[in-house]
Amino acid sequence: MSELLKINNLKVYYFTLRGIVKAVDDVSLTLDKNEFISIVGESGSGKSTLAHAIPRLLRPPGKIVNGDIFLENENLTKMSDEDIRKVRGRKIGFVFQDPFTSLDPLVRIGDQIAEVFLEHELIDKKEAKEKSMKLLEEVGIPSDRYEYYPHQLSGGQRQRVAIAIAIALNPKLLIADEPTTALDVIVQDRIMDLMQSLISKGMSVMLITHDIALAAERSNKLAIMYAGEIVEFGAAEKIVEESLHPYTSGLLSSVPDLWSDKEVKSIPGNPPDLIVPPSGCRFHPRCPFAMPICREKKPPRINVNNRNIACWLYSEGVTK
Amino acid sequence: MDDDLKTIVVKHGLMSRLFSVIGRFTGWRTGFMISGMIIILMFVFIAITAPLLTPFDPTKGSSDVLQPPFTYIHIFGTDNLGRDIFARIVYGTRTILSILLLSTLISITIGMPLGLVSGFFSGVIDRILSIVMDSIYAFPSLLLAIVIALMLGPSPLNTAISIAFVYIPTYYRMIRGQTLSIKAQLYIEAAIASGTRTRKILIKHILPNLLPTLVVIFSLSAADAILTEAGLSYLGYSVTPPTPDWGYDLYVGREYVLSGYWWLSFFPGLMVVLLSVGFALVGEALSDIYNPRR
Amino acid sequence: MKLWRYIVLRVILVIPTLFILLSIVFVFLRMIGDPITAMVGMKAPPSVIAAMREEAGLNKPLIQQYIDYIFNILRGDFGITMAVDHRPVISVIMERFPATLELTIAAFIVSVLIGLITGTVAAWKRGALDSTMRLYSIVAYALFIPWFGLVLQLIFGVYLKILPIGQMSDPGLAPPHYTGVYVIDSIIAGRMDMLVSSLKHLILPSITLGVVLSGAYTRLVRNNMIDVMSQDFVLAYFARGIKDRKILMHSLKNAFIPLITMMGLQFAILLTGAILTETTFSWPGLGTMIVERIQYTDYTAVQGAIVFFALFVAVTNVVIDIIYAILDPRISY
Repeated sequence: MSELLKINNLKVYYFTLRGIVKAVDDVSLTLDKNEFISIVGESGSGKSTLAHAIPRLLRPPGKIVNGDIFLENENLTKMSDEDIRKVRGRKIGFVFQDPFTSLDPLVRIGDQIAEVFLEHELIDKKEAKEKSMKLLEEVGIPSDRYEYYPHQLSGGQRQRVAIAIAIALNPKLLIADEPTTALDVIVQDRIMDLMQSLISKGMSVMLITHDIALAAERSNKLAIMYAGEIVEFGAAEKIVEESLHPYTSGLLSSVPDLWSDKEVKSIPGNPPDLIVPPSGCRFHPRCPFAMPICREKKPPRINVNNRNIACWLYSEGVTK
Repeated sequence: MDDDLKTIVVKHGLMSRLFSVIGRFTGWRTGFMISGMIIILMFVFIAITAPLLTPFDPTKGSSDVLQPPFTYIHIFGTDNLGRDIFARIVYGTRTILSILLLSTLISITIGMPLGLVSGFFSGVIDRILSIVMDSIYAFPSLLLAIVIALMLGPSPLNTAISIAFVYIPTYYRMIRGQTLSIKAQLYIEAAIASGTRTRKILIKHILPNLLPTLVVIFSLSAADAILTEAGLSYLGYSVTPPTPDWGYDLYVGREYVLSGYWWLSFFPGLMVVLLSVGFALVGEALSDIYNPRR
Repeated sequence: MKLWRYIVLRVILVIPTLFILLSIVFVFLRMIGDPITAMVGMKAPPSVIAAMREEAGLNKPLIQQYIDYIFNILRGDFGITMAVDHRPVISVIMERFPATLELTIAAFIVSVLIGLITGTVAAWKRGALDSTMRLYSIVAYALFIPWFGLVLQLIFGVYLKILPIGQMSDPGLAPPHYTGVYVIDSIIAGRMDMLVSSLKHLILPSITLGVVLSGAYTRLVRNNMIDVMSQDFVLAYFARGIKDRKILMHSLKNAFIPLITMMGLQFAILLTGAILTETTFSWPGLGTMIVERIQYTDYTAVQGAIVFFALFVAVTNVVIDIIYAILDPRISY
């Protein structure tokens, strides 16, 4: 079976004093081995929550209220705390968004990598250090910087260290939550090259990003998220060629193109309140194609030519 | 333009703040708040109704010397001069609460204007005042109170002044901080509105917003001030006999306690602890609302 | 090399604060009339008071007094005691200081131990345990030292008779003087019996002061730990599959550094508590010295002790700042 990750009907809610925030509301998707998938969406779409939910890294008041997450037939949501701890690092690697806060400021970078080896494998300190040095070189940092503290490195370098830590044990799945948002474009490119190279090493990568252009460039599959739901899911190339969901089209046309005079259109309106989301299809207040039914009922999730889509435009057999 | 100013006023208004506070009373905070308030109100009640609670005069001795407690006549027993300890505690409540009130008034009267001036004008005045206040703040509180009490002589009024001095920097800092933050907020917004009106708005604004923080600071420092006052009178620098004072009674009772007459010191000291806990509970509940930690 | 520069800089920076502290003590002691009249009051005829004032140099113009005061302190001259013994104040202070040091350090250790445990438990577990620890923190700090100490003395000294209620050691078992800190001196002298006696006497006072202090320390540890644990890198540790205990250690290390600076602020509270603890347990330290000398209306000794306290606080803060700089790799000097 080439299926690596299977998420079924996942619901993640935040129980805050202001109300229950339905950050992830019934999300399902699958990820195969050696696949690069990007979850794309605006801030507040729930993509980051989704990423954190998989290795159960949710902070209170967030909770998984429904659904299952299978990693190679192991149900991550129903595992004991000790079991999920063993999965983290060994089978799932996680890269955080802000490289300036995701490394322990008091521990040398080399030691932070070594600690992962020492925790999960039965090797001695010397061997762990050797492995860590090699890993540093692999991610593009000279191994003589082993003794450096995080604050002595640039943002891009710190993120490389974070990636090194995440891939140290050759996990099957690498989840990267907006890893390049805090960095400049050139550095971004290099980091993305690094991440893409991991596919050939037998890993699958799940990238969380708001940048659809970046996602389309690098991924096999795209999942477009809006207001806690996945509205479109399919092969990246095909989605760029012909996007089906109005939101996806909106995202694609808001990407400025250096080489043409194409008009840049932004999506009107603001992301919705997830405590009291809009009725029916959550995108309807901002959708240029909204029909009366969109306001009343939630569109069913259907498959159109290998594309998973949730939109009334396609459910009644109406073509664009 | 006046409408813009009005919106600024409403946004920082007291009422909206009040409502958001009440909504956040959940769980343990309510428990703390209620128990603390009960304790405080109980003591206030005792202070007010003192003569109704006990027939005895706390300053008059009798021949019933060193009577044990838990009897019908002398609930807390009597001391070495035959005075009813329960009476001394009841009237002692008046002593401690009046000193507390007075010292807080003095602290605020001196600390607030200074803090306002410091935050408002900044510059050299602020620098000098801050350094002086920080130094006083860093000074061990009891020591400071002792020095002042020594100079002024023992009396309830002088005790209030000594204690007031210890907490002036606390109020000063708080007012100064509030002034600075409101100044920053309002300057940004008022830049859009008018120009010269800002100063008057500032003053009109800082005061209502100060009230909640003031209450928090008061409850927290009251807990501490009670301990300082008791410490002061325990060492003998506060009131003169026969004024009933818990700390002083604890001191006097000591030489008898270790011979077995434990009630002389135990009950007065217990009251100090209780009253301090009461204020601290309220202070803790309130301060958690204003500086919540997730 | 660079560390020396930082230390020197820090020491230089504390000088204005020192001046202000000294000046504050000076001003406060002369605010209302003069200190001798205030202290002696009705206890002696005016001629005696006048003689005492002359002896203490209080008849000189204020400016002169201030200059003398500052200069003398800088030279380490705190004057001569005015009471019976007429000795240099500084010697009396130095005799008593080690006892205060012994008590303070012991109490500090107790409070840190309690505080670390309760604070960490509160921060790690949150929920009901957290509220309980907050309650503990409030009640512990409110335990009026003379009362709490008395209760302990009653229980353990009078009723159970297993611990002594005062003094630093049993009569005859005081160790020979090397440092003045009985525990250390006993060890140097190699006398087990003296060591045991000193430790037994240290237990009740250090627990009294330590528990009260732990009230403040618990809150500090809890708040700092929560702050640290809400940071990304702690979540990152979880993401790496590191064991809970290790994550706790890492968090503590990160919380430790801001904790140290705040410990400096706690120092004033420590000294305040020490005064009350010493008087309650007849502990022959600086606290009891001040109280005694006030009773003898020994103005120079009282002023000297207060100045010493103030200087001690300032110096400790500088030391803590330097330790902070050494421990935090992010600070460059």
